[in-house]
Amino acid sequence: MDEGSNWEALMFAAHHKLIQLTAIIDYNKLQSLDSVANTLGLEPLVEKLSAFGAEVCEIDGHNHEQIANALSCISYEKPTVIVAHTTKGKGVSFMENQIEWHYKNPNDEQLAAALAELEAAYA
Amino acid sequence: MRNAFIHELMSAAETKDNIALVVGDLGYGVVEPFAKRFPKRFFNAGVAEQNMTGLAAGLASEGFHVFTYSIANFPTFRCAEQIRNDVDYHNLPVTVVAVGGGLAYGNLGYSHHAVQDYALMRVLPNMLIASPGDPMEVRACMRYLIANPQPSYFRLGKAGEPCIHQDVPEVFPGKWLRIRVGEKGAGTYLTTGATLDLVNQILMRNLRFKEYALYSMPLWSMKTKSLQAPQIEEFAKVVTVEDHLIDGGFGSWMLEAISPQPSQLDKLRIKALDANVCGMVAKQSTMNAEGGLTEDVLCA
Repeated sequence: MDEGSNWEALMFAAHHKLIQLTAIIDYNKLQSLDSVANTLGLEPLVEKLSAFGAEVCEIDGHNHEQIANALSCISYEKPTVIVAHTTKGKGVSFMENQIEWHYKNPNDEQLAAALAELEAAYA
Repeated sequence: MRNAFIHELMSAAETKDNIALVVGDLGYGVVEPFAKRFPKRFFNAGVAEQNMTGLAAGLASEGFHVFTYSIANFPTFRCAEQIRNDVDYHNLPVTVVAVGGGLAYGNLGYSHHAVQDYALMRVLPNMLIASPGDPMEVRACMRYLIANPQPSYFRLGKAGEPCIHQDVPEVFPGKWLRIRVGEKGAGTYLTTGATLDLVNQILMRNLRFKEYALYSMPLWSMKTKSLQAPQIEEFAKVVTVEDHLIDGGFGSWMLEAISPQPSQLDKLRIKALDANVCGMVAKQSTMNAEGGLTEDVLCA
């Protein structure tokens, strides 16, 4: 959401009541070098999106039920923006919220460890 | 190249307190030492290149020499109007640094490719293009720009490029830099940017090209066109090579430069990327080959 063109698009969508438009923000709070908060803070994001004319709902972006509910409850008056709170690298202890994993590919050992953690958690 | 760049920038910033770096939320593993050493002269503008460039121009108008930094198309096309209106037309010392020129970030998708960047930059009257061919040329271009701050575009490769020059050469806008001597009266290859290594390797492999010289031109601009005809004079043929489309590229610039001397036009051969690379996604070497930068084509 750093790019101004996103906000331009939202203004246009709200002005023209593009109710068919639903945007999902994968809000993992990380940027490329540091956290969003330490780079170019977006908060209060929900209030900003609302002020730009969107119907906004917040969900846990890792919860499929909440995603499905949010998508089935979209507004018929305004474009909808779903702010999906997420954790980058979710479920893999050594990847969660670590900037370096924006760039790195896991080696064979790391891949096995990551899959083992995910399988154990969702078995 | 990235590492040579940040090393030169760091050492210049030690002695010049007006050097600032503004990044567009990019530079992981490269810019951190600068940010740590000079926190008051480092800004991460976020993923907002138009603002990054506008604020760089503002800083430059207050006496800073500002380097903006991002990948390929982001600090260039994304903010073309700010580069034109704020930087170039105000003749401000902002150096737009694009890492991953050409198809260096081939695998990351065409959003990360820069094969039309020369076309954009070379139509700006005050803009000096720095497109070094190896880490030594990076250092040379940086030293030139630090000593002569001006609107400029610095096109970097990625990391790990071999050094073609043994030492840091002396560079001057519009002047060709000799890599190897050819036979008197024979032809020469003339590269700009990262194609230097590609052409150098091909010439070393092909004995039938042993009479050819090899030059690179890391600094060029609209203002240095008049310097080209005299340099072409001594060669029977000049083959320009670039990892950019022919449209608006380096070879086309050369064509415009020598058009007042029609007798020299026949000498020029332009080797550039075919537009079929636009929209393609693959690793750099694959795409360069798909685009026509192959031994067969370059030696034809």
